[in-house]
Amino acid sequence: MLKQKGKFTDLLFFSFTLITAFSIIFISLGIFIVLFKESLPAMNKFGFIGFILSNEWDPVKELFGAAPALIGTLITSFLALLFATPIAIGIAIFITEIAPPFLKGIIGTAIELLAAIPSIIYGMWGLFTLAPIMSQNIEPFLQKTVGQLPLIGKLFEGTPLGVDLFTASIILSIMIIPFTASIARDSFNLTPSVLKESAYAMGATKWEVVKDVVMPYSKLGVLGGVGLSLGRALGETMAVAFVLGNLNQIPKSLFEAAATVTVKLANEFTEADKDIYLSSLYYLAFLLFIMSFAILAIAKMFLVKAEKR
Amino acid sequence: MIMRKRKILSSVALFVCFLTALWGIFWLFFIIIDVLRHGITAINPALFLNDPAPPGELGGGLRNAFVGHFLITICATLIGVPVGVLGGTFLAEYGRKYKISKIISTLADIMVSVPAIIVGAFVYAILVKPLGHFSGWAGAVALAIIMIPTVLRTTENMLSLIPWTLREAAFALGAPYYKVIIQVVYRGAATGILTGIILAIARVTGEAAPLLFTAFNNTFFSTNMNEPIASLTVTIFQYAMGPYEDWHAQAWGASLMITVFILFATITGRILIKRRYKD
Repeated sequence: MLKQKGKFTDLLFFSFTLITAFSIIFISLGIFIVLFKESLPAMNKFGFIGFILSNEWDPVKELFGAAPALIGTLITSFLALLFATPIAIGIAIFITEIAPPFLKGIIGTAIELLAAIPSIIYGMWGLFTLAPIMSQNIEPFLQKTVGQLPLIGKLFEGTPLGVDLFTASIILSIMIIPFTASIARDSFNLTPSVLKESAYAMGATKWEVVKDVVMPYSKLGVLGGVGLSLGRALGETMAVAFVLGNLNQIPKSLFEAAATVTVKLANEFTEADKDIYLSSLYYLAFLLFIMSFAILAIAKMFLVKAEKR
Repeated sequence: MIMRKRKILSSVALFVCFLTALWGIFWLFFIIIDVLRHGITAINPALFLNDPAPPGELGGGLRNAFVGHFLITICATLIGVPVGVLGGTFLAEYGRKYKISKIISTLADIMVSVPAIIVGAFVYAILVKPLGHFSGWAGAVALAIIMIPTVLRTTENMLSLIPWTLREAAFALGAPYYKVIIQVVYRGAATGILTGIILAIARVTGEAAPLLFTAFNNTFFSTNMNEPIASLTVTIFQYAMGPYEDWHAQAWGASLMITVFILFATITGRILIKRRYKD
């Protein structure tokens, strides 16, 4: 009798855990289906190519296009990666190969605390502290130096206001450093010490060991880390919303205000008074979801492969 | 001669790596000190005890936002933690041999990083639109959805660390599986699970994006989770973008409180886990 009761409770507990575990699948599928369903009116009206290539965003005429927001998202994420990846790899090398043991933990924790600071704080700090510094010192300086060069000089034209693509990318880059750094660190640690020791025995310097043994060995893991950071950067909202200005145009210079998918959503979602307006915003959200999900999945694949080695 | 060149190159490269570490730490201190500097002048009893004054008037506080934020976070935790812990239990215990567990695990890893604002849009479509109004519950559900994958993955990892022989010992005494899990496995992994929960709470406390179109905002004091409710993060966004100096100061004050709470929770979590799993 008692045994029967135990079996029944066990079955009950089992079903509970089963249902909750499957909630992850329900949620992911749910997000996909709901976003798709909500964006259907906009999909039917504008099509796919028509939507992503049009730079119209006119709630009055009910014409919507995603080009400026998508381009803004891609530019900020790409620049952030460009700034953050070398720094993050450097930090990982410092922690795994150079730092004395007592510093390893402290610096590792400090870098990871960067990831703990919420994005709204990055936004506040970016708007009130970093943006003025950018507009008064750093951006004029860049205009005087790099801005004078042919071709790339064009990227630095315009009045430096501090509320622009450049500032947003810098903030994003700081935010994603910890993600790449911690994964790169773990991958570096996976390198078998026998490999490193044999390189040292051949007379290689420390840098040569890092460059020619550790880095090639942990390539996949680092790539996975970069992918994960990219996924994060694409979806970052609040930090960018403060310093980007939500201007619907395709930027010609890094010192111009712009919009990203997330900034558009954050600013206009509650204001969307017409169904097609809201649906277009959902279309943007859907595209963002697909993009970040795909990139995160690829990154995860790399990481799993790296771990298996 | 070549050897010397290589040695110099090595030192230079390693020095650059050292500089990158400094670069990272520089921003951490820059941000924290900046938030402290601005925030500390805004901390006064009125910030916690008063509700917002009409725009442009002095003397208001953020009592409504503090209370609202607390309520939303508590409700999100009450929804998210049980689901996450039980789900993680399935992956590590009952379902550990099935392929589907691996898939759920991977999916959860991806969901951890899915943009928070997407979750907000999702909850808007399933809760706010059908009900016709913003509500604290919608905000709590959005935060819970963000919490679940994090808690689930840490629980799974922590349970997997418990040696299998421990479970076998309990089985040998005739205990059914659920009793083994609750009385043996959970007990052994308690610190780890708790840390996961603390870190998940720390993470959602700072989220603003998913609350923008779920809990929305409310300038009045309210504890009714069925209505729009104020939260610190959404208030910070609104106040920082607003034109009044007084608003900015209050936004800094709120930012300081959130930052202190999150850093404190994160560091506590790390210390807990280090103590438990010394290696």
